[in-house]
Amino acid sequence: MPTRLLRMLVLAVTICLFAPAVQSQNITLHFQPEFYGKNIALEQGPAGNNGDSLSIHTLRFYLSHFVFYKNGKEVWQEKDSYHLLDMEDKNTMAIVFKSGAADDFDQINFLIGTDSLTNVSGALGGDLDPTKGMYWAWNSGYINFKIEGFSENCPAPGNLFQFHIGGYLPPYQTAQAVVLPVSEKNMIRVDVELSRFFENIDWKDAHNVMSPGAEAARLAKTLPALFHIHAE
Amino acid sequence: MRNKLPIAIAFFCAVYCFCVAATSVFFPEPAPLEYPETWPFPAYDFSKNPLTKPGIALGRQLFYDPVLSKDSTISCSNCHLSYTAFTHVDHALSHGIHDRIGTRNSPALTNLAWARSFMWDGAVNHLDMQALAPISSPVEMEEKIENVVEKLRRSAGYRAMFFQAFGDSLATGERLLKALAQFELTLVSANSKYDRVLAGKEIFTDQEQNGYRLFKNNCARCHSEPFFTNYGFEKNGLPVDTALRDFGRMAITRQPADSLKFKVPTLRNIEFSYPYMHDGRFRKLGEVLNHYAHNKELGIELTSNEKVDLTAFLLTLTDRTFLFNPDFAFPR
Repeated sequence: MPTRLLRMLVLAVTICLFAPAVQSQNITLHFQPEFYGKNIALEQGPAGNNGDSLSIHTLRFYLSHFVFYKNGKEVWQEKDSYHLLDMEDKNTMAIVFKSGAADDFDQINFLIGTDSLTNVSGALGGDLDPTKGMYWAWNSGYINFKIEGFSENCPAPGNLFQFHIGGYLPPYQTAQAVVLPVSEKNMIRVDVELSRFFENIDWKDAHNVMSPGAEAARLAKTLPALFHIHAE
Repeated sequence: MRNKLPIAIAFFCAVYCFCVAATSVFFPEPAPLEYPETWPFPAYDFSKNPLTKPGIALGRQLFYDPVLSKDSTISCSNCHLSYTAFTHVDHALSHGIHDRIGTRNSPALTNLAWARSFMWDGAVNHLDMQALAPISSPVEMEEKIENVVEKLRRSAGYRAMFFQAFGDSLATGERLLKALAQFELTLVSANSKYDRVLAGKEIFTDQEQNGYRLFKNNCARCHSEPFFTNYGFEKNGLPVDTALRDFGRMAITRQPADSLKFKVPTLRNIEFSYPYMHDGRFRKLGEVLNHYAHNKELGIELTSNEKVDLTAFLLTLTDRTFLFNPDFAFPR
């Protein structure tokens, strides 16, 4: 009798240990920065179609509030859903949703940036820790999207451009919703087409945005168009 | 033997559970904020950062430690001295790293749990995040929070204190800021003569009583009791300093209506928090009262006798138990 009990116990423990791993597969969202459809790396000049020699040395942004849908109905949402993507750290450019996520979905929604509640909630940890270089000390709030680099068209000293886009207070909110219809289920590649961001830049007017305001809000509105599912 | 095996397994399970519990359950000694019953609930959300004895002790250690600055010369206490209501006594504008001078007068740190925004222009929206501003300012500590965290991680003393406060010896930006906030939250001033009069333990002199009446008629709209600030932003009629060109709140909201609006400072311990105003332009309380005494914009009209009585009342806001509280002083 005790042997049988023991066997059952061992079996139960085994199931408990391994069940979550086999239940469902991971969903990986891989974000690939591009310039006119070509993959780019940091500090490597993408060949702009307009002949502009432009290179990026920093690309860092928050994606948050991932929600999965099927036929317009919410099927799963990630808890404490905040991710800092940093081109300098390849691992951060892929977001892995562990088992427990929906196994059938046809649309993923998320925010570029952080919601307003996060911006007024005091010190937070993980990707939201203020040591990540994405928090404004002298005008409280997160930088939602940071892109820096060089463009020969940029009239700033050393051709350096710096766009730090953030701000949560109306009328200059900068968090932006993205809706991605998806067909792939496990490995989803999302292109981040950065050329579209620069199409909205008039170098004479703007090459430095470092605080919340009208310009940050205007540029934020152009960000959702950067994100699209990679077409084979 | 066969009978003993399940018992052995059960024993190991129990030991395992105990070990898990011992490492994951962490109970630092709580130290809830004490304040008068008649006061409103604090604005600070303690559920996200409950006050604990080791948390406050760590925050106090950090508050007095110049490790927060780039060259380890400037601590919070350089500009916020406990004996002068946590202001920079005798300095109109504070000096930070390499004796660089800032643009504003160091504010008193008092009753911060009820404040909804911080700095003279409300640039900071949460007490936790306030310390980031002086740490990063090139005229104050000129340091990056990332570097501060690295320095703390190298210190065995701090590793022990972080473990006691947060159940984990690893310093992070979040924990550093929360610990500092914990100490600052304890800076409650609620035992001035004014407080004791309200509690029925003492009585005002006739002069103080008249001053209190004048205060309620002329000052209390902005310097509201019991904190002697409405924690809002107001225009007080001071002309802009042409050298500093500081337009206050407008820099944050970008609304022209907020030009020259500054945070209403508390009047608690005003006897010790000189010099006064956002740029410290008035060295004496009398100068402040002279500024307000014939102010058509604010609708204030005070005779010289009334100014004397009002001053007598303002001096009842001095809280010696706050000023000389050993728990607030340099940790020894």
